[in-house]
Amino acid sequence: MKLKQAIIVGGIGLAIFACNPVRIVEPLKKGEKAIGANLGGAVVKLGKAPVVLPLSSIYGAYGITSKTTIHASFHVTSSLFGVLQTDVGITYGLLKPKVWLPGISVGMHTHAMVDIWTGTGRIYPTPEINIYRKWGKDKQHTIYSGFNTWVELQSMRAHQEPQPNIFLPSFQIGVLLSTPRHQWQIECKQLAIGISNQNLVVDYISPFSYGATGIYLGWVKKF
Amino acid sequence: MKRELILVIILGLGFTSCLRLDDQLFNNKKIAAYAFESYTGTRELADLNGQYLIPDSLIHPITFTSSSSDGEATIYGVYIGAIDRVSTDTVILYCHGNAHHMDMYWSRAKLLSKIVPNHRFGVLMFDYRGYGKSTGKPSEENLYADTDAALQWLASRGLQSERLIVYGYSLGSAPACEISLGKKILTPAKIILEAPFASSQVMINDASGLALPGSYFTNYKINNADKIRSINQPFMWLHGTKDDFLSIKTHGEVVFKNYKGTKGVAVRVDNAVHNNLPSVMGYTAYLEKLRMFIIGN
Repeated sequence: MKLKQAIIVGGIGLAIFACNPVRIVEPLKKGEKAIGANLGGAVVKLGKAPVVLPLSSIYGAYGITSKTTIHASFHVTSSLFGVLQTDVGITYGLLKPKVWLPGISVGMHTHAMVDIWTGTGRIYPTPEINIYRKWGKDKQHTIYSGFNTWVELQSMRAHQEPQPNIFLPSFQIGVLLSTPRHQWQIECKQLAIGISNQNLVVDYISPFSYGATGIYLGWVKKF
Repeated sequence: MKRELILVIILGLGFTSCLRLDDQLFNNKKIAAYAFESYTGTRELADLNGQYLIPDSLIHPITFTSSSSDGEATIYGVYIGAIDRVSTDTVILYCHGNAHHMDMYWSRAKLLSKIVPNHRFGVLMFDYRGYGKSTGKPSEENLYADTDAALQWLASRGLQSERLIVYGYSLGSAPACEISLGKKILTPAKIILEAPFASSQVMINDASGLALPGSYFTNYKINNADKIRSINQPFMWLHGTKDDFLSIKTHGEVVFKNYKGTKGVAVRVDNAVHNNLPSVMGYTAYLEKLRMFIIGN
């Protein structure tokens, strides 16, 4: 009994915890602003075909110093299900990229969500670290790789059973391609590293017996 | 910039809607006619084709009416057994799983009718609203209403609660638990659940790895894990250890653990997946296990 609909349920369930690519890889300049949107999620098997779950969100960011950027978002797909979800966070530039050294940024984000049906809320702190390099004629493009983890604060899950996972780590690699007016983002994540993807209502596509692979596209406009 | 930000936020909020997965959870299929033994489509326990045959004289297509807040629906079912002996035979009410319609489960139903060789067992199987030829649209409420209507059909034929057994498979575990709570016209004397759901919330928890509320995706509860706490009848639970759809650990074990009655029987079948437990167990052994549970004290 493989329900295509249940696949969607489960897929969204998993994908919600990694439903966006990295917001800020390199901190904005002081006073610089950006808005962006992204689409993508975990890859699941729908029938025999792989399908990328179409999770989407929009966000805005602001450089409060040359090293520190804050952002806030709104998750559009979640809202379609009556779940108001946002991630807010701060990204700090530890190292600027130099000739041979990559740039390093760290972030502390929080995903907060509440459903309009029961008012049940959840908060997930999400620390993140990324390393990146610039390339191109004007060093306008960025390639990056990083690691983040969602932190589950609930000790119990359904029916008062112990919550087995506290950390849901993900590894990502991506590129930011800049044109004179826009920036385009492509990112691939390995979601939920170490968490089994066997015997679930959903067939996740992953090279491993754990987690899922996610693919994301993003658009950024800086001001 | 500020104006653009406000615009995207308003657009985003505009998307906020009442989209739920409730209507998408059912894997029902409409058909024009039932084929039962001669069905050539995909069916569960397909290796039973040609075995455990039921004489035509013991196959009785039936219809009855189900009422819910959605209105009335015509429910199609099949009674396997001597229809004039419903009041004196032991009857198994078979609540089938989520796939398609009764033809998918014909092999399972006919197998149950063979628990005792002399056919003193009747089996009533029916299609929930929206499945097979049954009219209407499926929902959690309608599953319960349709199963209640099946109980009323049996009661109208003179069946008493003490000779009613309910067997819920997969999705069918939800109505099986519901009618075992003792609030309907008949209360099953014993309950058998094969590969049951714990709840919709467990499905979400399993799929996400997080303790997310089920309400984020569906208004349905399908909360067998809580309902079973209020069920005191003898209870048999069967589950494949390699169930690839409803994990034995997070669904079946939780349901069985929450059973507070005094006669709980657990049958964990090594290497069985979601839909092949009787086959992996061996049909003879499967029937014997059921017979011992149903007939035993």
